[in-house]
Amino acid sequence: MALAAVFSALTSCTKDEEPTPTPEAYSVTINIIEPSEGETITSGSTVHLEATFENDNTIHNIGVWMVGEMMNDTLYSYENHVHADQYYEFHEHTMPMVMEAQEYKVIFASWDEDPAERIEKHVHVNIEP
Amino acid sequence: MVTAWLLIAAMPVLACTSCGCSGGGTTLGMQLVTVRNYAGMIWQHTGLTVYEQGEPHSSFASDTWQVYGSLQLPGKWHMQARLPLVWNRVTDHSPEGDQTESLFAAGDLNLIAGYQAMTLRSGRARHTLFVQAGAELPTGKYKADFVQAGLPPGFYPGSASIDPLAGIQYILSDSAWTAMFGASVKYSLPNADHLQEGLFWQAQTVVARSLGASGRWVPFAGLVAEHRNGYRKYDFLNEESAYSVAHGMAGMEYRGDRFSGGARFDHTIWQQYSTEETTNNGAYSVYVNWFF
Repeated sequence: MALAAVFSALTSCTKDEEPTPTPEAYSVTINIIEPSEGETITSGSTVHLEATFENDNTIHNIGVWMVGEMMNDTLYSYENHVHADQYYEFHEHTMPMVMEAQEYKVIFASWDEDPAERIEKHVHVNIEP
Repeated sequence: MVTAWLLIAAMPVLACTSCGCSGGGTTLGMQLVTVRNYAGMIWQHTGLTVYEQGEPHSSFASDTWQVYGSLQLPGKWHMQARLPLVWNRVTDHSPEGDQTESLFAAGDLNLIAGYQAMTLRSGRARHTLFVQAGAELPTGKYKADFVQAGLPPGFYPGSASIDPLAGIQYILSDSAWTAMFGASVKYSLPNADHLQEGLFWQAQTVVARSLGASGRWVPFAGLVAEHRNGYRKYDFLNEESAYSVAHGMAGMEYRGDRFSGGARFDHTIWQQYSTEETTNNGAYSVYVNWFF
């Protein structure tokens, strides 16, 4: 009886220790084409926001923001569930207007379900009045 | 001799992914359809400028040299081959100065089989119909990461895929007058990088008249319309690379016994690109043919 109990305990323990499959972590390669790092932009002129997103499965959500480093103001914001197969191109134009010169971070990001777990890449631009 | 002017789909998409626009190729290569064997060469210059707030933002210029030939086969068949060499330049204009990326490379080999499907005489008029089918083979320079490099789709002249194409030509000729209507379509297959060029079609009509008693000088004029869908990568469709453009064109050809040569100018009369500030600069070309 004692042996059976030990055997039972061992087998149940073995069953409990079977590795449970973990979901593959979301990955994406972001390539920023425009703007370039350190680019100076005049207020009111056209800024090109262009990047490619690539992975081996599905690209779910993408986001693009232009956020002031000093004032934390947002000049551009875009979020979309693109659900693209392995490849997506983002290309939009915007005409930022500023009253004072400031450095802005242009962020390109992608995430699966939780925006907090987004993968991002960014460049800095200087926008002048 | 039956002579007409066929503009075959061969030119790459001219586009400017770095400036939110795409551009259209212009003249695709004047290709004689004739009952004789011939070889020839054509040089073409095309251009495209993208403006922003009235100032040039970027531009694309392309010079293409094409060598080509046509052989008559038994029956009413003929075979044509064409190989382009391309010198492409894309320039970003900025206050800090222009930055130009250039490339000189071979394009895709174009092979076409044609059949003279109809020949009718009605008084002095002669009606001729040619049908053609073939493919562009992946011989041209191609790189998969042109988008990531900020280059337009047509910067590399190769598609890295087999691209079937088909066309028709109807020719109405009188003693001194020739009128031609032609249309062609190219369907590109996806390449190994899952990139697929958009469907391309072109239609053109040309009227020519032989001058003088010898009829050696032949002025011609016509209209060319072309359209290309945007390219695809996986299931992503780049709509910005689609375009439609129409050209009025005029030129002059000299026809000798064993050779002909001519020049032609294309002027854009209508265009539709992804941005209204894209301007097709038209095209000009010079060509020479030897008959044998």
